[in-house]
Amino acid sequence: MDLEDAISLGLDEGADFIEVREERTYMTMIRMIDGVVRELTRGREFRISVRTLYRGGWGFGIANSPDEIASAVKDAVKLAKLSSRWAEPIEVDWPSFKGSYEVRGRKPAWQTPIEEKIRIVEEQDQLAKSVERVTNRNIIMGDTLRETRVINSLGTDVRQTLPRVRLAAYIFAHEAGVTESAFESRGGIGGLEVIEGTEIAEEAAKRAVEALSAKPAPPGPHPAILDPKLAGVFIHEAFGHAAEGDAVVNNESILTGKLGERVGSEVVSVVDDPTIEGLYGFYRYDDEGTESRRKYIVKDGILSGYMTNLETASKLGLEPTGNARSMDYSNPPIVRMSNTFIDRGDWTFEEMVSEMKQGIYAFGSLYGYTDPAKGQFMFKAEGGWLIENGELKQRLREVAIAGMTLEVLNKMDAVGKDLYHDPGMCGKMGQWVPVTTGAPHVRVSNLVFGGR
Amino acid sequence: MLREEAVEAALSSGAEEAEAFELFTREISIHVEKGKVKTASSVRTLGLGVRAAIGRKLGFAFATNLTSGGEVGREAAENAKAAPEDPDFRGLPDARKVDYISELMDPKLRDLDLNDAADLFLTAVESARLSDKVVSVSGKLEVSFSEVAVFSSRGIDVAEERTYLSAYIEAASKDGDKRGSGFGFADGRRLDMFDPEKVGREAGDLAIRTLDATTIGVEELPVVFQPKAQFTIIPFLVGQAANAENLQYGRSFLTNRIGDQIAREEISIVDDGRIPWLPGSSSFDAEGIPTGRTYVVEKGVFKSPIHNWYSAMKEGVESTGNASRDHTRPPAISSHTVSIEAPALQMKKDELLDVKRGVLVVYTMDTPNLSTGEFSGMAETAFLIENGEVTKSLRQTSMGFRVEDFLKTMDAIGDDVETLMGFKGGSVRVRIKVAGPGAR
Repeated sequence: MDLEDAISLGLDEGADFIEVREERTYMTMIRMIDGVVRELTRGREFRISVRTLYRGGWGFGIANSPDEIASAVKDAVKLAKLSSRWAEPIEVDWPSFKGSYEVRGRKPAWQTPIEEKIRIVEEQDQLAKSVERVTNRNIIMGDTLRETRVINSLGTDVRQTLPRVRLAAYIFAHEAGVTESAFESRGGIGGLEVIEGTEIAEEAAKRAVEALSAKPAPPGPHPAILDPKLAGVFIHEAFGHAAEGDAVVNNESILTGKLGERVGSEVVSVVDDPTIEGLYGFYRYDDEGTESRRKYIVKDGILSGYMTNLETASKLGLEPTGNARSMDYSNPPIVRMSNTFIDRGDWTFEEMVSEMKQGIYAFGSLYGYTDPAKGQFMFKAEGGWLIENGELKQRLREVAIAGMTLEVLNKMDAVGKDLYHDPGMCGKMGQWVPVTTGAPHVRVSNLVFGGR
Repeated sequence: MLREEAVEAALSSGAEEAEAFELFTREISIHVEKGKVKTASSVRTLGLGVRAAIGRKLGFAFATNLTSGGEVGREAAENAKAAPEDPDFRGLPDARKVDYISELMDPKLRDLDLNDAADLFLTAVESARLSDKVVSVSGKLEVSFSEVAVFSSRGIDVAEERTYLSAYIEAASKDGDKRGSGFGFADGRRLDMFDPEKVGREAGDLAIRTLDATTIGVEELPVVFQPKAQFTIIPFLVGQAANAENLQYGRSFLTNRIGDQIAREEISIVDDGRIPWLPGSSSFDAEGIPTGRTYVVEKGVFKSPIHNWYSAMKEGVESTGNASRDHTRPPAISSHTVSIEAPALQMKKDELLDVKRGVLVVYTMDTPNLSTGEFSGMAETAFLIENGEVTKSLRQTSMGFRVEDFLKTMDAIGDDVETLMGFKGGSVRVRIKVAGPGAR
């Protein structure tokens, strides 16, 4: 059965709405440890997912081949009818989209011989090896090619082909009983040109060695400067998730009902933009087929938008922003971020440091998370520097930073000019999708550090 | 069968040895938003991952949606030809006798109908609505049945059926400008390991109790970690810090420390892959090697790492049966179910709270640093303890400690044993430094 027939069948079975997504993925993964290739993997996946809506209830299933589409559609309609027993009806007054978009890249990774990819990984390994006191080098390179077609009963029919490449280095250094590590990565949409010329392994190696002399951070509240990686994760975790339409609609976000209100100091503007070509979180169409677009979530401190999919946009009375994304064929699309960042300000990093009498410069991001209902967040910095009288004095170890989202946004009093986007994977409800987190350096008048 | 075809094809394509890992999963899930069923889904997947070796060169390939295993086997062999030599690779695993555990597959869970699953889960959702202050309840129930098989040219031929359930409920609360949240979750391989009313009530109760919050300053205090606050710390000690690969490459703070005292002598920490019905249990690991029970820490002394075949052969020891993977990756090393054994420190759960001033941590998501063994993280859900009573909820509370200090200052273990996410144990009390923005 072809996809168009699947739509007709779903409507015949009684669905109010049906969406069919065909997805092919090809991937390669190379993992080198201390110069030895420990993993050389190639894989491919192909599936068709079916999502149906019946009187407010959603049903979801997958077909492993075109032969199984008819039974997947019938099952998905039955599941939607089951869900509708408890659901509130939804009006399907959503827009539809048509188009196709394809990125191949100058040097398509999928067509590159495996030996050439191994050479790229080896070069990074050698860069890290050349740094004294490095004791363990882990270089990982992964590339994927994702081809999707989304059609639905409202007339949407979009095709998209996106290749992604990412190179990462996780380096350990040791001296006098102390072991430290650092992580660095580059990645984006396109071919191998995305990672050409990078020296991530050397950067990570130097930071791991530098950390050997680090001390635990002094615990408690301090004035702080956050580097672009850390500030980017902060805005993603602490604020971005709270601005996702599902959390807002469900009254599980501190931002519910606050559109148009001040949520941060006037130096803060926050953007989600899937249209920036080349960035890891780029896409032209989201996984519901909606054309993506740039939008301000916060403009000069005022909450000016949410990120939405078709359903939450309708419920909030807003336009869909093209933020419906799914990890793969086996998951329905949910509201997600793309390339999310704090927009540029007019400070330099040097100005921020020189004006600080006592505080902490925290840099690098290991991970972070948030509870959008309470508005509480945690993010973990790879390290930091103690600042005294406008100078970086003592290197600090990995440290957790905890706070309340809106308090911190209000305490953000300087934003740098140096916007930087960092690739990563964002998890929500068990689904991981590629994103970038971005920001310039920012200064916060007070943050709680969890040192020892 | 796919796995046999794949191994055969790899050998025919030039591999000297080959192994196939086959995983069939049938999963149903109920996703609830704002108290209503949002999506019901049913998904079947079949995946195959193949390792092929030529001398010391190893290749891997995987695919889903297969009608034949031949192509994956051939691709794995081609990848092996392209791979450089790995001097530490000593061959794919040899066959070992597997004693099968019967308590891994619950027919009631395997046959659970989606309607019944939805009714069961909605009982949890309703149980979370303890008052009007609970403004939203969301969550997800996932139930799966899987068939796992490993077949290799070295004589491994094992297969078994397993069931698994995981449920979590999140409740959001609001009272004027005050906001709170709570959660409850459960997992297991048997249907009756999910008590929907208990999970729901737990989420609702925490949501209401976190409405009234306060903060503290920087203090060193007795801190009680409930079981849900330990599964990112204690299993980490085994699955990451005592992971043989991390030790061999010098990544872990426990490198070269076998025989060192790292906990007080009343404490042993054990990894067990054979406890009936627990999610971490299986008859064999992801390489077909029988699972077992490993004392990682015995009487406070770091005794043994956990191994898969590769890491064990590198050291010339037996695998501890801790290989883990899905079909898309070659085997890594993971812990099964980790627990603390310390009968001399055992006491009633309420006795742990008998301190003048302390903190009760219900939940943290943070893990220690692998290379330094230091923990710096947030007490995501925590309460103040004053004169033996649990009082206000705490916000913005960070914690910092060395894992060894955590294990050396531990002076009590509660009888409130829970099993979840690869951890089995009761509350523990330690003395550590906590930091907040200051008392309000």
